[in-house]
Amino acid sequence: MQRLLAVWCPGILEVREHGREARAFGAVVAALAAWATRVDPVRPGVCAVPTRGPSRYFGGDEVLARMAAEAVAGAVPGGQAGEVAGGHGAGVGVADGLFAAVLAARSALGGAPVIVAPGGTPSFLAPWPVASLDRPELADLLVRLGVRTLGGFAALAGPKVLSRFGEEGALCQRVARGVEGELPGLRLFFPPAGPGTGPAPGAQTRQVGFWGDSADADARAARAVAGVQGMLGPEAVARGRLQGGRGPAQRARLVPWTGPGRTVGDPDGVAGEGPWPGQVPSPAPAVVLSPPLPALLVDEGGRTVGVTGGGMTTTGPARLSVAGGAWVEVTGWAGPWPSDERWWSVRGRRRQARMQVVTAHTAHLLTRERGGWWLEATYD
Amino acid sequence: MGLLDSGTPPTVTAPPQGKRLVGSGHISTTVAARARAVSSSRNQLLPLLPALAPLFPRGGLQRGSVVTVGTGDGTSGAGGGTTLGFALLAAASAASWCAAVGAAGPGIVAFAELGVDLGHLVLVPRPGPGWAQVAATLLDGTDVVLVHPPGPVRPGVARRLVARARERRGVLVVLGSRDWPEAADICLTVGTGAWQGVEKGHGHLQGRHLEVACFGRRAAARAVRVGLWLPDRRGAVAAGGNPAGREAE
Repeated sequence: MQRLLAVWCPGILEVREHGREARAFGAVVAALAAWATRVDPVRPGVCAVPTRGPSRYFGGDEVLARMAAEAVAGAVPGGQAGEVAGGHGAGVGVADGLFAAVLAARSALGGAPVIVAPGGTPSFLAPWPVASLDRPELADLLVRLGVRTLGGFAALAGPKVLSRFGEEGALCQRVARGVEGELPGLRLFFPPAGPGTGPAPGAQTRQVGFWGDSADADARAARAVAGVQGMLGPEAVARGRLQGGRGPAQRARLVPWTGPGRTVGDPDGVAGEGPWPGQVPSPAPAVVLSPPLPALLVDEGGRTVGVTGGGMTTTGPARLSVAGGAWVEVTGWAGPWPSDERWWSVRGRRRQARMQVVTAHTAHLLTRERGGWWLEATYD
Repeated sequence: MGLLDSGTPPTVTAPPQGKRLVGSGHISTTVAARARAVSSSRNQLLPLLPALAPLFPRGGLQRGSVVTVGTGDGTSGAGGGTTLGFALLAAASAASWCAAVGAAGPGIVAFAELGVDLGHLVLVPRPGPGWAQVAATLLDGTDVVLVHPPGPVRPGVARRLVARARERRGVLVVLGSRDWPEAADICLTVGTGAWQGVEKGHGHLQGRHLEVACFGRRAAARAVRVGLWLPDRRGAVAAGGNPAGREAE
């Protein structure tokens, strides 16, 4: 059973006004995603992080849970330092299986994270009331039979539970016993890939998606992406992410698609701000070549255009040829914008100069590096 | 009664279900805009940037339709087709999922400047020979799919993609009209652009003025021509009559 860290934010379980809760939940997920490799939104107000990798990396479930509590406290309204007035704030719990992890997170509300030791899920679940299973009819029957806790339910003979309560009752008992990790109907968001991820029957709560639009659209998109990943491999599907840098190739990168919602904690645009001397001004080129193509840039006399140490061109560009192609006339140019990256490093140092070059039909961004010109991007 | 809303835990009292509104001050406005757009998701039109709306007969992207984007002389790329193609997605991406198949060197920064929501854009830069199947699959799950075919498209392949777009009520945007054998609902043609702001060694690129022509079937049968800044000096799209007027600013 997968060991999970769950975050439970009671103030945003239901979505009421203009998606405010959905947005607050988005902030919670983003705060966790700043360091967690994967954040699974389970439903509004509840998300889970698989702990196996991160725990090993950060030094244990306790450290991880503390980090999560701190990250979430800053993101969720009313989450500061044990403040639980009005039922807000957040709880963090770690246990085997999603069901136990969410219960652990619930009992941690307003206090320190609750960590259920590996293998300790059955004894942790035992004192909880049968109503925790979210099956009112089943709970009602069990209470009338004198079975009030999950421990009591777990102790009933399995075949009898199956014959009396059917498949669903038997599944609930496996969850109560800590054998099965996840209760059907708990999730309103589904992982992008994997079998049996259709909407849970009877999930009657208004479905609100990760960023406020319908969860149905998010789930459809996730299934389509999973289909493409099945054809081409997981790395073939990507999303763009902005970051700081000088050239267009450094200011953004493609990150593999991992699920709906943002994989990282930086909202669009924020990471791209800041002083980047040598950054080429807006607008940015619509086509960025990776890797760049070799190019030749010469003056009227056919001499290669160079860039001096002082950041000046040695001569005026007149003609351009890309990757051995035909020469085209240069009608205008701007720059160079010199940049000297990692100048402190002997091997990592990159001295470059960028130039915008306009031809009859288009404009290009060229880079001068190691004595040659490279076509880095085109303003298509 | 249940795991999430009640069911008293043994040692901790269940928190009351607060009706208090939750604050949202630190979330960006783009997310807020998306949250409001729920009701429009079933509409027949997907939104366009205001500057592009006059090109389309109903002022928006018609669900179940095919739009081709091409340069006038038919040469590949470099004429503004990529910028126009992604500008078509920009407004829709605020509330809908979009995908781009075969745009091999995506200019992420430029797309963000155009207003494309990168969190709603699925990129498959190198789909390989199965690009049409990839596009068809994405039409199942996203509202707008932009494809840049690697070369001339076989009529059967194109027809299947059109049928899929109609059936799934998605919008198919094709970059490179010369490679597309089927009639499109909307054909956008980019005229020769004029980059502003660069002289011999001075300034920097500050925008490109070009004329986009739109013709098509039914309501779009009458050709429309619109002058645009694509992009303008901030990388966005702006309506613009003539470059000279702009330079006078």
